[in-house]
Amino acid sequence: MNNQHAKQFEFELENIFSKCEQAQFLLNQQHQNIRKQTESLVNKTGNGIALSTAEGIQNMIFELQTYKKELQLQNDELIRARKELTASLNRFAKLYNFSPVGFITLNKEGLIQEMNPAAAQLLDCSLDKFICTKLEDYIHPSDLEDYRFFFHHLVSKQSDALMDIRLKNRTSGCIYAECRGKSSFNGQNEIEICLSINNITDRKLAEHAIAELNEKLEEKVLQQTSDLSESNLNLQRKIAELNDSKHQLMEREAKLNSIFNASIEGIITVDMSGIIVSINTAVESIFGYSEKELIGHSISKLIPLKKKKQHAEYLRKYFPTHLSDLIGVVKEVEWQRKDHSLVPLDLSIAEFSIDGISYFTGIVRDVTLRKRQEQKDKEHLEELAHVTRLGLMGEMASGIAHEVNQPLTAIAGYTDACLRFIQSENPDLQKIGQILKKTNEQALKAGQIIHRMREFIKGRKLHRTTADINALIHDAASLCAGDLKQNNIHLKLELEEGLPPIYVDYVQIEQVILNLVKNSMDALTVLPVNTKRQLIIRTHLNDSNTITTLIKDNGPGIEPSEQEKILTPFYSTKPSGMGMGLSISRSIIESHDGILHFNSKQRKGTSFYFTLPTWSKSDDR
Amino acid sequence: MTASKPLTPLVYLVDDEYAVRDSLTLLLESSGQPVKCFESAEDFLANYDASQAGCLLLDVRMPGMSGLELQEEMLRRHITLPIIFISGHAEIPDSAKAFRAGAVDFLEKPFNNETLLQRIEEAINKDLASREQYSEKQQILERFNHLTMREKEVLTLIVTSHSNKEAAKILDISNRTIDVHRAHIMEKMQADSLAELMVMAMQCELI
Repeated sequence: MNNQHAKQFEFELENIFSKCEQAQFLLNQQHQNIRKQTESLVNKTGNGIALSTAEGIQNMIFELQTYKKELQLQNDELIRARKELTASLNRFAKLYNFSPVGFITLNKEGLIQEMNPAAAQLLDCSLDKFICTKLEDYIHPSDLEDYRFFFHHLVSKQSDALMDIRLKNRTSGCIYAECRGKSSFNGQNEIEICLSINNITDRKLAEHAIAELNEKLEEKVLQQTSDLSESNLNLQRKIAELNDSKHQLMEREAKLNSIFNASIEGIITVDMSGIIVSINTAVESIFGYSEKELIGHSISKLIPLKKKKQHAEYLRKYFPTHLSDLIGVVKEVEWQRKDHSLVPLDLSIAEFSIDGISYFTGIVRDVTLRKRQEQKDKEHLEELAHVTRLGLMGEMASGIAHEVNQPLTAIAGYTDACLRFIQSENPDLQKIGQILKKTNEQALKAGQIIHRMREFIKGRKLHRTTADINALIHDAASLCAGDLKQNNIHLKLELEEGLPPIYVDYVQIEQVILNLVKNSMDALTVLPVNTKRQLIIRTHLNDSNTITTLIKDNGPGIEPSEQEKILTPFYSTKPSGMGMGLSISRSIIESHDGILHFNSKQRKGTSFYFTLPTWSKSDDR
Repeated sequence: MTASKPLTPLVYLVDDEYAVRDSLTLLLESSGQPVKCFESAEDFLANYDASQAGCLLLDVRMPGMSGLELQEEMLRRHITLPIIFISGHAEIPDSAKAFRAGAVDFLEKPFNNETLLQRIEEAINKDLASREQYSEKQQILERFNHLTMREKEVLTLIVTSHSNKEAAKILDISNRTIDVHRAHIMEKMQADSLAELMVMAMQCELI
């Protein structure tokens, strides 16, 4: 702005100068014209005066008057020009004094001849003190050399020049200035140098600031470049890593795929509506369907017909929530092959979602073999149980025989008595009738015992029914009553009333009870003769819908070293024992979803107890 | 103990099973044999009349005291009532033990009633005989107790095969005195001969 202003001002000054020169030139020309005309006139009159007379004089006067007029005109002209000049000068002086641009006039030695206030301000000194001081003194030492060269150039080449220079300044230390120089000849024909000095400190500072900013910017750019290159490196590394992990993923996918297809467990993925999305090869072999026949079809294709109807409903209403419930548990289900045969499966379900859409993966294991094995195990257990029942019955035979012999003895006595009565002279028929009735009762009693025994020992298929545990205990007790009596053991039944039914194989549970009673009896017979031999059978209902049956004796207890072993097969503490009783009992109880345990304290007795779940109508067993 | 009363022999029946007691009672009574029943050994011991002749029909296995234990207890109490065991399941050790302790028989239930009745008769006869024998022995012992000290000494020597001479020498008395004692002994003991005296001496466990 400042700069522009200065330039405009300079331009105006130039203008004024050129006008002044023009005026000077015109004046000079007129002066010369006037001179010439006057000289010619003088020459003419000198001759005319001498040659002519009054007429010549008359002409001469006329000429002079004209000339005078002319002179006046010229004088007017001159006055006007002078006025103009003065005005110009005034304007110039005004401009010179108020110009923001400093003007300094130097002589050829570099001494300051003249300067305007702006220049004084720039050089930081009062106007009158400059005169005849050297401008050099105001130059910043580091620019001195340049200035001298500049000044010399101006003086010698007498042309324009331009330089940026730093001036000393007391208040602000240093001022940047643009110095334009012009050499010319003054009136005395001496070289003088005009300098216009423009304060460009702001600009310079701005430039510096810009330069600094630029530097900073550059630095930043450098920094950023290095940052960028670093992040570039990082990216490259990451890309490498990604490539690596991509490779690993592919490898893993390949592995998983091979596992997926090599798995003997069927893997079925369905969407929320039960449509099959993917299957593995095991599914094909389990169900006999090909991949094409399943993918895109409903999962209900694999559900047996009788269940399909309810399943469709179920799929619609509860499928997703139900599946969610199944997550994390293994459920036994029975699904259908292509040939409509049923296949028992272990089913477990996992959920996953892609882009907010849930899918369910069902893993199915064909458990036909296991089921068959379980069936076999059950049969084996039943066989083994039967064998041990026979053994148990053998051990109890004497007691049972005793029990049967009692009614038989009574029958023999009754019938013989009847015969005697009949043979008497006046047989009392009524009495005979009474006796026969008693005989009948005894025969039935014997029959019942034998029936119960036969039930107990005959080989038979597993058959579960609902049963009352207390009735079962009574029956078992009747089978061992003889033994108890023989061994002088007092049996006390403490059975809780109103127990819910259980769902069991009657004979097997009876076998467990008899086995435990037999063990207790064996323990009790070890006691000295005069010790009371007490056996308690107790039942009670637990909170967890199970019934505990306790068989407790006051025998010598089980040795701690033997406690660990007595439940294992073929371990027996008895010389004639098979070692199967307890292990079979435990297997039987466990196959009924119960547990069998015992507590034993030496010299205090042993308690065996087992639990059985109560039967509820909702059980679909 | 005095001489036996003229009472009908009685069958004691000890069995914990009601039906057995009932039927056997009917059977025995129908054959004219009075019966007294007990449902336990303890009950029997508390109510038994020692003066009553008869026999004991005893079950082996019973709650509380068993038949064999009762047999032991009776021996301890010098109850000589003959015992016929009846057992639901005869086991050899049991029967051997019973026989060793003097049981008349060991019958396995159910048994032939004729056999039972026969055994009962035998047992009663045995009891009657033993009771008779017992009372005879008691009489002899009574007579023996009536002998003087010297007479007892002489008797002991005579029955142990000493001659009169030897006895006189041992007791340092005359032969004649021995003869007098001997006559008194024979009279007091109601013995007709030396042989009879010997038997009586045996009864008195002098030899």
